Amino acid sequence: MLDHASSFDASPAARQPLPLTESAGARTLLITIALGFLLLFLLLPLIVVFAEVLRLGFDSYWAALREPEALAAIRLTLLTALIVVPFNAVFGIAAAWAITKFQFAGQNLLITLVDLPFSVSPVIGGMVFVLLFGLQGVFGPWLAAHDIKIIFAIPGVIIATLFVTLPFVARELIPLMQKQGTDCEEAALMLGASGWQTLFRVTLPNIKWGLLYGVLLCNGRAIGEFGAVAVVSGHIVGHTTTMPLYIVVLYNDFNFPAAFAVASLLTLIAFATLILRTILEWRAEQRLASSRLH
Amino acid sequence: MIAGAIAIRQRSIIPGFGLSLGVMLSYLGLIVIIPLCVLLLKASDAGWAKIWMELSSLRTLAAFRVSFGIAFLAAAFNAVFGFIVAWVLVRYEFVGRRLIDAMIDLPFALPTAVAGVSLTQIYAENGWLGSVLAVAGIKVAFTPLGILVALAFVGLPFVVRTVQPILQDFDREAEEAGALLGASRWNILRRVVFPPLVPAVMTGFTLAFARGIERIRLRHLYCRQYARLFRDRSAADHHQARAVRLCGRNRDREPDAGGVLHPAAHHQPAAGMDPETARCLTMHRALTRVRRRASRCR
Amino acid sequence: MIASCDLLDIAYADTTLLNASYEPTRRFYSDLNKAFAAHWQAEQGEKITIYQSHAGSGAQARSVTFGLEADVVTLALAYDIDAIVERAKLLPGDWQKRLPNNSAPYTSTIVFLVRKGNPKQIRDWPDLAREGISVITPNPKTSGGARWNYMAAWGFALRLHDNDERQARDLLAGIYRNAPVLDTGARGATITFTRRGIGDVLIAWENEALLVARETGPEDFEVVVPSVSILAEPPVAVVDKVVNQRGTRKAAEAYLSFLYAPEGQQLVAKHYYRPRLQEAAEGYPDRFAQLELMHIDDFGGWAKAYKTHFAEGGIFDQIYRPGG
Repeated sequence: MLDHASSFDASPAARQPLPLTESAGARTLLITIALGFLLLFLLLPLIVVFAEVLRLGFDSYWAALREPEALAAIRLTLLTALIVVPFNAVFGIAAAWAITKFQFAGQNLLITLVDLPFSVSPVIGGMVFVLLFGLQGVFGPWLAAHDIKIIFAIPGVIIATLFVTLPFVARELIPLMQKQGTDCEEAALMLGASGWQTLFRVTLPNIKWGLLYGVLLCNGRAIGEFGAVAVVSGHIVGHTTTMPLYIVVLYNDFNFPAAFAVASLLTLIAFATLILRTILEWRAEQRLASSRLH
Repeated sequence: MIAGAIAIRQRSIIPGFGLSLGVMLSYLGLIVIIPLCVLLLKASDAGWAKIWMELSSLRTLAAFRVSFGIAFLAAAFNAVFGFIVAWVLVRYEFVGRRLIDAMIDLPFALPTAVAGVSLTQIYAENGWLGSVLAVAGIKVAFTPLGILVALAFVGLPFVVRTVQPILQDFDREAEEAGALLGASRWNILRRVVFPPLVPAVMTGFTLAFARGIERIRLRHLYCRQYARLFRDRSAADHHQARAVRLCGRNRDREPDAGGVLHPAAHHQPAAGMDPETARCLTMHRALTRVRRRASRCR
Repeated sequence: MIASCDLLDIAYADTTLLNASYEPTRRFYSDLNKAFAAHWQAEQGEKITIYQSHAGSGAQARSVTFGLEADVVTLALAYDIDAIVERAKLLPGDWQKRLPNNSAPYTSTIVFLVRKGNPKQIRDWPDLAREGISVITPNPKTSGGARWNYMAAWGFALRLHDNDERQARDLLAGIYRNAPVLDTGARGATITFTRRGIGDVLIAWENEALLVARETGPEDFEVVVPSVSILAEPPVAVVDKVVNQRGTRKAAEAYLSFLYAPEGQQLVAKHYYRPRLQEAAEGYPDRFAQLELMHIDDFGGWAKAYKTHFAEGGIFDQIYRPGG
């Protein structure tokens, strides 16, 4: 293209830098506007949550969280996440392995099926299990006869959350492993590694950022899910209410300080999720940059 | 079915097909396929479906008909400022840029229960905004103003995340050409940079607007049009796969990166995002990825 | 594996009851459960824990039908419990006769809640249909309180227009046209009105309105009593199939009897419900307004009223067009 240095025009105008970006003043102004807008509209709800919490005072805050019903809600949410995330992670790895390391008919269909919970409204997701396991449902009579409680009990909450968060890890891993191809695995196998060794020593390290990222998303959704759980939980306070449900219970009872206390916990988790994600991306970018240098 | 698939698939030395496919299918079957089949069977009992939908539609955000005007205003507001935010995030470097970029997804990452409760607090009669304004001596019917704030929060990521990928892929050559030809910065912006960004801003505006008035039917409508415009996802994926094969896998593989090409390109629909919007954004990103790959092939 | 192991249950040996109730009763039953637990401990020497589930009355009935294992149901209207009988046969058809006063240990009525000072001058039912008034009321399809609201309005409208159904419909259509949103439950509507600042008037249970006007928002809201309203009898019942299976019949029946006992009735009045026992009401002389009260039997009972108004294609469906 035109070489600036080879230009014969030595006038001051020609030596001006090209206007490839806005002036420093304009840049500062725009940045200020953008940050101001974000502070006001993005962070305002968070500021509200924490201001309400501060207004509450430390003692009342802890008291609200130590109520037995609040503790039960926190335990249920954590239990749900602890079960749902590993299961969906294993499923994600298995699904990505099956879809990306092999070629077979019906791959696209499987991808669509994996995405299905994502395209279905969470309320429908919950309702599906009520229709399946409820007393009037398909398996209802059998379950009742064997005194097994799924819907309106804790297993129902976990299954509904499992349904809703199913695609997260798989969706992360499938494009990633597709891009990585099978070269590394084939090389490892030819060098004598077994299938499992290949999985743990070759594949997993390759996909670790994507896997972590998917786990993070899955966790965030599992903790915050409302619609599907609201349908299957039966609203039994102190038993089948998760944290999001419990927040609404408190709020509807005019107990705003306690509602914000529990909400602050969820907010912190959301924050932590976003920050962790940023760190993950930053680390990955760094590795990318360093690998490009070599 | 597994045996059939094994028979159909191409030969490969990689083990574990049976196991991984088996795990995948049984899990999917238990959690997704069987339940949804049951739903389809029972859907004939249409009365139940409708009643359950009514029963279960717990809307923690204000479930009122936001007036057209306010939703429009909020979406327009988001369009303008969202564009500025996207511009600033892509084009400039400053302290905390990466963190702020991540925070854009906050309305999606925040559980609906928390968002509903805190947003109500903001626009309530005796809420935050009200008391703050009262202290400043402003006596205004702040409920509409509060609703505006709530809608701005909810719709904020839509514009930013639709404009960002386009800006990132923007070919700077045209800008440089304009500069070399002597155009002023403002003219370059006005004539070269902004026009291609208008569709993205409009899309973001539409998504934010649809979300604002919470008209599910309207949202479906726009997303369908959007999908038609940008082709469906499987086609985008197909083109992407083809582009990958055309360019040769080596060019596109970053073995140690864990698949993170670029922060914005990697933004998957975040936790809590509702499925409709997530699909729209995914389609948009998929197509952007395709275009980028295709351009690298030149 | 997933058998009856409720992982968060307290000690296996303790008795537990589940009370499936409608939305506004949360505080009342919270207090009552503590009192009953103390009473049961004193009488039986045994610890009892009562879990509560609250949702719209119709929604709760459906949940119980679909397997929510409630030992007792304390819903907003008899029709919802009848629905459980009809669909799942969890208790006998004559359940309402098993306890005194139509199985309703407390009653309430329907009044209006308005903003302090009553700026829009809302005095009676016709004011709700006025131009420019915004009315908050829940959805009769899901909320029991909403159905009481509707029938109270309907009763007034019939009286006003000498049983002319067409004109009564017009009045109700006018009221519902002024409703910007229909929440799924009574408490949701209260929150919408008081917390979200939407609407000029809330049609509410008397106990809801009094709770707001006296406890949660006395500076901002006041109660307006219409000229005529309806006697709402929220019934209570033991769910036979569940208590037989769980072996909790004795505790469940004692629990419901406690509602009729003086201690229970005191709590009833304290939480703004109209007690059946006169002595309990005497403790709160100015609390409950004297107004003319109709009864659901004036409309042929709930079965007939439901079929006429709230069934698919009934009068409510005809007069209410969402979004229009």
